[in-house]
Amino acid sequence: MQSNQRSFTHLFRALLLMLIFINLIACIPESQDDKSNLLNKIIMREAADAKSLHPLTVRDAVGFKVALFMYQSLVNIDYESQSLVGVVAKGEPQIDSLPKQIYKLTYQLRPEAQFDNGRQIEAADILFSLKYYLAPFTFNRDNRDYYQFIDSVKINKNNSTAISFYTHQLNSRTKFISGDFFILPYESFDPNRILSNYSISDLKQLVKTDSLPNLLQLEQHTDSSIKNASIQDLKGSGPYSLLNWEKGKRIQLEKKSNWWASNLNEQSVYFQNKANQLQIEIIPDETTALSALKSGDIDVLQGLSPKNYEKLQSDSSRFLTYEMEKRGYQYIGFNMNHPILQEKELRKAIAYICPLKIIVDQVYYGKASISSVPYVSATTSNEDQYAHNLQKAKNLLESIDWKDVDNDGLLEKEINGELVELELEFLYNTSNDSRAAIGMILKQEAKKVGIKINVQSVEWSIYLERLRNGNTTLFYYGAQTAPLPPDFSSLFHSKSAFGGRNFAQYQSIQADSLIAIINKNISVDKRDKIVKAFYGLIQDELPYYFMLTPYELIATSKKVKGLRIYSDRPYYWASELYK
Amino acid sequence: MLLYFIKRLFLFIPTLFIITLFVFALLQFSGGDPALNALERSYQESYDISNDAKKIRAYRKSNNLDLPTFYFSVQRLSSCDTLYRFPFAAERSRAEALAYATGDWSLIARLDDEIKKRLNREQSDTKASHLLMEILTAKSITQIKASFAQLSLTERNDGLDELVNELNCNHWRIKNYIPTIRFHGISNQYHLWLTEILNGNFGNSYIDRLPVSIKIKEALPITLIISLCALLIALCIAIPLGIYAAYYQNGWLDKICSQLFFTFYALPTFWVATLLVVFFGAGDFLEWFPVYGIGNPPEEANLLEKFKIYSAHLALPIFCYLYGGLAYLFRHIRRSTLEELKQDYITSAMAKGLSIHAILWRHSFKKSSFPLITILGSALPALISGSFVIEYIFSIDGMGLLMLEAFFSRDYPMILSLLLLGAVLTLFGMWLADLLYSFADPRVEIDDSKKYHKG
Repeated sequence: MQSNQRSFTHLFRALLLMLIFINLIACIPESQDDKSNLLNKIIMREAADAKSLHPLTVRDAVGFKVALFMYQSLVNIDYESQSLVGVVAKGEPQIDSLPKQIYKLTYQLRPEAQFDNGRQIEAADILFSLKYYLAPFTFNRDNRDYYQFIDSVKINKNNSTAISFYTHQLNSRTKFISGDFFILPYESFDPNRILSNYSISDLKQLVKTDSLPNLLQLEQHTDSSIKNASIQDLKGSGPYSLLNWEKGKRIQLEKKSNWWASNLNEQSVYFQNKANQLQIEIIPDETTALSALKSGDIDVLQGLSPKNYEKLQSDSSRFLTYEMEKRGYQYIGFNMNHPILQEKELRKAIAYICPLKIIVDQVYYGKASISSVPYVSATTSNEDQYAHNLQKAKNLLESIDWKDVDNDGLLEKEINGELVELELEFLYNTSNDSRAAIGMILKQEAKKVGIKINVQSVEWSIYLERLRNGNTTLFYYGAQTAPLPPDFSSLFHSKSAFGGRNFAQYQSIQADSLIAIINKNISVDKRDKIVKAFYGLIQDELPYYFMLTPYELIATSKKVKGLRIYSDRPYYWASELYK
Repeated sequence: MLLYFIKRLFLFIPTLFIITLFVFALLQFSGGDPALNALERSYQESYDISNDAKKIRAYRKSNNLDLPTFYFSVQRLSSCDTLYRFPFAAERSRAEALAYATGDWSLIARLDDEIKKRLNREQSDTKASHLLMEILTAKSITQIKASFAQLSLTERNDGLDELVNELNCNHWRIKNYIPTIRFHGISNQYHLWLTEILNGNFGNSYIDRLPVSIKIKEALPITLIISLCALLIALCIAIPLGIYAAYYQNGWLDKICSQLFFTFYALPTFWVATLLVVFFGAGDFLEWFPVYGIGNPPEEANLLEKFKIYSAHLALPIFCYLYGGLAYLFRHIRRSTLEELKQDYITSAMAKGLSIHAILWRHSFKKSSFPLITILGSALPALISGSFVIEYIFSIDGMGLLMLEAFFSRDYPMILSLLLLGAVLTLFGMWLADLLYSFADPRVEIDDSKKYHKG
């Protein structure tokens, strides 16, 4: 009895200690809410950290998002008008045709544009920045390929605010891309002015820096700067400077007090800097991020799933919600080299069994729009050519001799002397619930017409490999596009078929010719006509069945004001927000 | 006995070597291509679509992925001996398929060279260039012949027709059944990696090119703190409860603890973690704990304030770590205590009038703690490996997330380094456990015949 009492006493003491400890630590400090209100600080969530913030190696979505606040380019796309707007430059380049099929693109710089040290941005800085992007560093491959089309650059000695690029490759996107590199101060990126010893053509011809000690030194300095993420090195002319970067945890940006464009009366997103501080918190899990929004630890939550978005939408006393159709596409792809999928009637039949409206309602909770073409414009029809119709699907299958020979509910056909069942694999990447749901819906509908679909998910790396290797049957994929003139090369050109991003392995001479014309520098009207013809072709041949584009869903706390949602990345600009 | 433990230490070397071979082989068979992952991360819509192949080749070259995997490879005699140089898996599988079909890879290589020469001469977007492209990407002889048949007579001349006709010959198919060992020398991925490891260089991560050692150094402390705290707290809870539950066998304490801890054991971690976040951290229910991160105390905060902030942030993750292990520890302690309590010396101690406290803690616990030594020894690698589920949900930048990201990106240097670290700690943990056994019980000795005696 006594020992029972003693053990109970020990237990009681232990529990009491635990309660005291929990109370001690559970007195959590005040949330960031009050402090961030005072500071006019906007706290946003991202699911993953930036891989790099250095202008040469910034690639991922988060890195770009931050870089757009730190650095500026000559021009960029205006989110409202979808036309080019001058950022460091006054406006679009003037394009002149010269003999021997050479084109000259001339930019006029804004005289008020400056770096942080007060030095005016001049043509020499544009030249330096371009040279930096063309430098033969091992990690600079992507940039060198991207800007290869610029043959040479000329600066007018009498006019330091004008610069001309020369190229013999003028196409529909040249004027967008020619000014699409960050303008950088040489003091931070090449303090010893090593690149001034090389011309553009010198740099383009060099393959590596090993034989040139000074370039090698610059490469090592740049490499070190990239790896150490040295805040003092990452300088640009943008509205914010990098205050702090705790890898894997947060990124903090601070508004510049003497920013050159503060007093410009420009409405474009590139000239906004309303918030004093921008902070990105890295929170991979959406449920945790949702909890953080509810507890006031973050202000903006982007990329919400439709289900969570609906929950926040119903709580309008605490949250503001925004939705916008994203520019991009999602499709079911058909491997055109697969023996069963080579007939377009079969591909069309599969398109007919796909219930897009049900998918939009059930999988995306209505937060998606049907989009039957990869690049939507005002002049192209976005109507679904293959609206859900099981009877049409059955008719098509019958017309190409798919019959249920053995009455087992599954269609068969003789192919190369062998009776083959109509069984297909639907491939998608794991951890993607919406694609899993689409696969299951497709499977159920396919069963009704005698097609057996096996839904298979594989890990992302394997998925990529199978797509590029053409080791697929049906597959689901999607991508975001840029607000640029359409370029169908990567999706449809035969050169992209073998190992490239033409995952359907689609090869058509007619399509290749049309793509070549579309990519030329032709008038918008002419391009639209050719694009319409091109869409007619691909919707008949159907290497991909373009289905829908999901909405971008954003929620903020009610304290955050000024958010405008756009259809292009990053979908909203934090610099427009304030409290 | 000291010699025995020193010998065990030296046995680490061949064991680790075998583990590295095993892990390296597994990585090669696991599929996925780090170059493709990098390309996907860096994708920019560009005009020149042949850039993808160039980028992949350059990426593989700069990371030594264009070298053979090992010192030698066993292949069919008909196989392509430089398969590892093809940048795309599609090209490799095509090469394999055609080499098998013809029995002679050199024939296919000559055909491909001829096609490429003609493609360079031809204008793009012509029927001929398309057909030549089809031949270059065809995976079977039938497809090659079908495309070849569509070429005009002039396009077929100058040796191309002879090459295609040779495809029909069966002379070389016997090579498909002759195995051959191809030696690649020391210029292979495994050798380069091993040499770097022995020089203390773990390489650079494929994801962001940061040194692997720095990334591990940044992620390790937080994982260690969480794991150690969880382990200590679990021991502090499980040991006394296990001992008292054994003493009061079938009593209310025993029943409640057994039921409770096994219920905990059955609950999946991701579910518990999410529930904790929703119920104890979100703004809808109790807002007792912060929901993510490890805290960001201001610089001017004193030690106690920092402790409070960090503790508040780590309370929920630590709970998620420890609750599953409670059942395991509790059962072991309880069982071993029960066995000890049945011993004669305990009966004598009771008869002599010693207090329960003294019997349980001073006498019985020492013997019943043996399983703990094994558990702690095997817990060593678990201390650093972390839990990616918990780290993902609570946004803690630890070893679990590091490993997860490395696997998804096929970041070979990181994966190999982490697995090697885990292997070293596992071996060391087992060695340490044996050493502690010998200290804990003087009756434990190793004799010359290497038999393990106890008592």
